[in-house]
Amino acid sequence: MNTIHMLVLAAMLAAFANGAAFAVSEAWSYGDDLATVYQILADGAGGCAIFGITTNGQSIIAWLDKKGTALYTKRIASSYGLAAASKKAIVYSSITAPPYVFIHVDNKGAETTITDAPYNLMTSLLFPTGLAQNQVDSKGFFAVKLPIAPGSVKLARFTYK
Amino acid sequence: MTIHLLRGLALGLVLIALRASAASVAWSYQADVATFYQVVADGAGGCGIIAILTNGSMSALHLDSKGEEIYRYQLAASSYGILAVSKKSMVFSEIGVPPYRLIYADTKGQTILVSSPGYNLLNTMMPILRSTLFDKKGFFANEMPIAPGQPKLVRYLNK
Repeated sequence: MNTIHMLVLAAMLAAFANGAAFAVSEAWSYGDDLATVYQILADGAGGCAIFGITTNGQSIIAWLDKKGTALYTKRIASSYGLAAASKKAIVYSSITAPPYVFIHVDNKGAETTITDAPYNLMTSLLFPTGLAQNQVDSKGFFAVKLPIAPGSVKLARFTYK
Repeated sequence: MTIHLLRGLALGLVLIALRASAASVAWSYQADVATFYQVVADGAGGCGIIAILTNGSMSALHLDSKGEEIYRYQLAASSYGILAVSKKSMVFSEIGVPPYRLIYADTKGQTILVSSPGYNLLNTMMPILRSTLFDKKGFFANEMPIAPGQPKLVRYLNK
């Protein structure tokens, strides 16, 4: 390929990029028994972890992949939310009898309990306002769908296409 | 020669270490804003803003790295804030007559109203407008006049 061909190809690619559609669409949604979504942390791989409350009052931690498939779900008595979420793992708070603990979950679903007695492990003392949020990645964002008629709250994934 | 190079390198590192720590005003923005509710750095020296205007309405704004207003959208009533902002676009909530929706807008003036039939779309279930006031080159300050007057948003650079 000579220089002219490369320049023409580069110009075509640039033109294609400029002409890329300006769009956004709902890719998927999740949740059949969600009453509230307190926290969303994008995992950087198109998925996210959420912390919410179910319609029967339990705390729920869910880790969803880029297609909205649950990699991990856990319903627990109470939680101070998520401390971290990445492609490889999530970390969340679980509150039972003291000391409160963190649970580390790898992308195969293996759980490891993190404890540091005599301390309670917490994400933030300002609950729920102090919870970290990250609803964005390079391909889109996550939002909450609140039903207008009675029904379950859903988490939705939107992509820029 | 190697020793000279190492000395030069060491001198350079010392100069970098001794470089004055400072903050200088790059620009300020006021326009018709009465209250800056949320300021989110776009990572390129500009920012997205949710503001109350002096006429009482609420708007979403995008300023570029020079403090120029490159996007303005008058919200129907209110907002749960900015969900995402980059150099080229932003996503923010619009609260009005249900269904509530998200707005995806670019700096060329294109706007998409994002909705989902049967649902109110929210960036979060809590109306907490989190601000991000810094990027790698500086920070933003929401400056309120001590005497009655209009606030301004000021961009400071770390130099």
